[in-house]
Amino acid sequence: MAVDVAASSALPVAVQPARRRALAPASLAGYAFVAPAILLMLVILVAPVLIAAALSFTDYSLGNPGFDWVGTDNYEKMFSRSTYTKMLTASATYVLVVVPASIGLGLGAALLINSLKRFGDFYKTIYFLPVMAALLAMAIVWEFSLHPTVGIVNQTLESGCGTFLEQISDWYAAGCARNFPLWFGDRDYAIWTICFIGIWQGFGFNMVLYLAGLTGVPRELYQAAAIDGADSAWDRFRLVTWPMLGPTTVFVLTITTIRSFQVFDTVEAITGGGPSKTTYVMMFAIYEKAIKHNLIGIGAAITVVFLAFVLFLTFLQRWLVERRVHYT
Amino acid sequence: MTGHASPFSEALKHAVLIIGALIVILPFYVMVSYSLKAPHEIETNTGGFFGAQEQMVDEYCVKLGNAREDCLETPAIFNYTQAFKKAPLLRYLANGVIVTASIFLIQALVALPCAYALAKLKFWGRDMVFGMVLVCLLIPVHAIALPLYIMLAKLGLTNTYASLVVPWTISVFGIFLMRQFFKTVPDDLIDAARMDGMNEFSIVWKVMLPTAIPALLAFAIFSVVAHWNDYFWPRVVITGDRDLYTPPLGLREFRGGSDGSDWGAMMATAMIIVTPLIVAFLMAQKRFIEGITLTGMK
Amino acid sequence: MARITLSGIEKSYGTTRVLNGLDIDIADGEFLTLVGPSGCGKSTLLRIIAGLEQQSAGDVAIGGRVVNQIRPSRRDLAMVFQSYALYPHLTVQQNMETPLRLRDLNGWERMPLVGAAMPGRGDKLETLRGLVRETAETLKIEHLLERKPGQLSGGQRQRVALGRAMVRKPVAFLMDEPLSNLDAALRVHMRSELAELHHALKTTFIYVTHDQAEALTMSDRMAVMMEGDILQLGAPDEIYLDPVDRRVAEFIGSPRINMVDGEADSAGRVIAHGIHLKRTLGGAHKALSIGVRPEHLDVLPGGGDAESWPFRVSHKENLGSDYFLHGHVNGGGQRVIARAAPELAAQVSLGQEIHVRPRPGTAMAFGADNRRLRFAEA
Repeated sequence: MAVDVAASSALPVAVQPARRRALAPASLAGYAFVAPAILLMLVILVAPVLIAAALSFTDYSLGNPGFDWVGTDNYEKMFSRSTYTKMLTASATYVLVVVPASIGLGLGAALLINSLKRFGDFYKTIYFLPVMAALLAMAIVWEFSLHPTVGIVNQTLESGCGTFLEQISDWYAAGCARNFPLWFGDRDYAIWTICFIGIWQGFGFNMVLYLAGLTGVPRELYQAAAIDGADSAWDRFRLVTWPMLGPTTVFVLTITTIRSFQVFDTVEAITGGGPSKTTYVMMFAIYEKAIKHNLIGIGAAITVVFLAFVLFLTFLQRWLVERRVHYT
Repeated sequence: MTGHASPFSEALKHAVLIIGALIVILPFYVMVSYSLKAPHEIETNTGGFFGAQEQMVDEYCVKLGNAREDCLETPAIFNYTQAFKKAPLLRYLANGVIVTASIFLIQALVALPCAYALAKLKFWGRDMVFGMVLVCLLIPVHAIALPLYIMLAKLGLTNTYASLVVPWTISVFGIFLMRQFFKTVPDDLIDAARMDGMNEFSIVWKVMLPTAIPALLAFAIFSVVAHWNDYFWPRVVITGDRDLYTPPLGLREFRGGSDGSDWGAMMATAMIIVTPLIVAFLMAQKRFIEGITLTGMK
Repeated sequence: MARITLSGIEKSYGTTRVLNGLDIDIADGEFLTLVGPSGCGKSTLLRIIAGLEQQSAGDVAIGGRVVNQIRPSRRDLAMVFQSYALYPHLTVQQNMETPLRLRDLNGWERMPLVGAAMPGRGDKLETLRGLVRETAETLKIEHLLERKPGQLSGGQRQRVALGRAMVRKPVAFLMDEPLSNLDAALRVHMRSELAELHHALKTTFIYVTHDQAEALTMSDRMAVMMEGDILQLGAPDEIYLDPVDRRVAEFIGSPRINMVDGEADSAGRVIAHGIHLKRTLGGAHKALSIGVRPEHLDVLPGGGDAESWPFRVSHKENLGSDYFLHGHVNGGGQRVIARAAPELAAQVSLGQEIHVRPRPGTAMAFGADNRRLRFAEA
């Protein structure tokens, strides 16, 4: 007995160094486990950003032995040459159209589906299909559906000629008299049609995020609103739904904006940036100028501006979430 | 409260949603229908959804000097066989599988131990590493495509499988996601494994991995959908070698070389590329929606 | 202010019935508590009164007017929710203003930008702010008006929720377990505050809780509900001392009432676990339950008599002011609790065999169907 007691009272003292040694393998393992990830992050994510920043001040081309520092020439070009101002216009148009439209439609669809008694899941499935399908494949299908002569859209429109539709819409009458739009071939329509495909593809994703957000709104808040006198759907939306969806909205806004800046597949496959550079968006510009035409400097400058946009938006999101919509 | 909705407003909602559904479905309808139809039916917009499926003559076959009666084809079968004949579509599909599978496996191999270390091991500098993960989360890989392309070109790696896979081997988002998940695993479980004599390496693969299956599955869906459908990156790094084409590149090539007469076969190709994910989605909708919207957890 | 009458209220979800035709008449200014275990239908009944749910049958009348088809907001009731249901994005001031704005401003005046231009809006808002300030003073929460709910403690949120309910001076307050999210000490404190508030406002309170202590301490009358029925409706004393149903006797009172097996012989004489109570029932009964509350058992440390049970003490529970002695009677399986003053309990040690005796006139008999059986007058 006495020996046991002595041994156990001595134990804590003995354990101390043993424990410290026991931690060592775990922390060694820690370094071993994070090392590959750190290496890859540095090489694949951090280094390219620095390389892009450096190259944006040069006239580098692949295959050339050397390069010259050209200062801010590339950036000046970006904001003066018409090709690049058109690029900024096209990207800005795309983002400013697709972001609000796909968020609005996503929210609208989510609210409608959420208020349905039945078949909500059916619509949810259909609206989510475009998110799953390869955008390039669907871009080609859209191109064909909107083909000026054999496309199903214009053929359907033509079949409506001679009916009341011509009376109620000047646009429709004009289409019947001459022809319906060329869509991707017409500089007045191309960017809007590309935007339309972007909205078509993206709003289902936003809808799903909003549906998830809606399930998080406490039912008691709606009941409190009902007792407080929020009788119309609009009052309930203003008082409960919209504020409670604040965090979702900020997130959806950020991710949709970043995705919209990255639009590429539809432009590359259908319009190639035309007609007259109306659809010459940033990702396509980087691809065409830097990778196809080997003008690395200007491509790097576009990359840097692009990254700046993305970082700015993400920080804006963080700030908004913490300042405005985080209630707890 | 929802109990007071009138049948009229319910019907109105359905009407709006159905119109939306028709627009969403339109290209899918076109794709399926035209992949079944003969060229003249497509051009004249006749034949309904399935086409008449009358025997038609393959003009190209005739040009090769065959007798006309030997060149008779049923449109639907013709379109789908053409999809495989005109281009090595099977090869493209195999490439797609190889690339998406490799990407996911390497991502998991890198991310799981790292996430475990960040969530459960104590070592000096851990918070710094996690800070680095958070910073890297802000960098979209597509945006830095140009410098990545230059690096790969300098190494002579363009037009290889490696170039398709390497930029995606590190998924910062995967690390972040798995770390958050591992945080919820009780420390006691890991201590118990240590008491049983497991080393840290076997803890990751024998204890943490099995508990993380649901999260890993969601991440797998997220990763596979993104890379199967990705067009931009393969377009950048694969320039000449058709043997390395992924499915979207193959379809783009088909489109580029098309003279407008083989729309049916092109739609069949699109169908073949899009169908696997759509079918998987329809069969496991909840998991897919969960996986695709994972980014919403950030 | 008005009286609230419920008649024949039924509620079913599909084939499941949760309320079986309830009638209650709630007097103007009364504090009525609906108490029962979870799932008994008490919250559903409250929601039906509020108009948040539609009853399957029956009428709700407020001030003599049937309100079945009236929206919740037009019933002029206020509700305090278990989770408080404060709008997290609005300040306390705005939270309390919300019901007033929705009632007193028209649609145009509530519009985001257009509203500011509407004539007369400023005066109306000034009146509303005055009402909010007045209520905040009553509840002593003036210093919180600029904060958001996320920055408040549980007790403060509770007050704000009360304030939002009070500010529009409703004819009745409906409260759905309003104290259950508070810690124990605060809960006891808020009980007395609510009772005082009721006294000051002289408005009808309908209060739902699963905590029998809350019901006993605050109510004018309480309705004990189980499985969609009201088992007993009456003043707390009446419910506690004279329950009409075994389930009521067991639900109300802490620690629980002691139940021992008993029977009545052919002459109706009642025998409870070996001792004869000096009471008779109308006839013979095989399976009786005899209920005696812990404070109605006299502890006899010395020795027993013919009317006492031998009692082996297995546990002494010290509450400071009192002791509860746990044990078994007659060496049998039935666990019994007796209350003893500390001086008396000091004379008892664990494992000791003592006696406990039901105080004359306090035992209650319940039949196999749970109904109370009345003793014949002695």
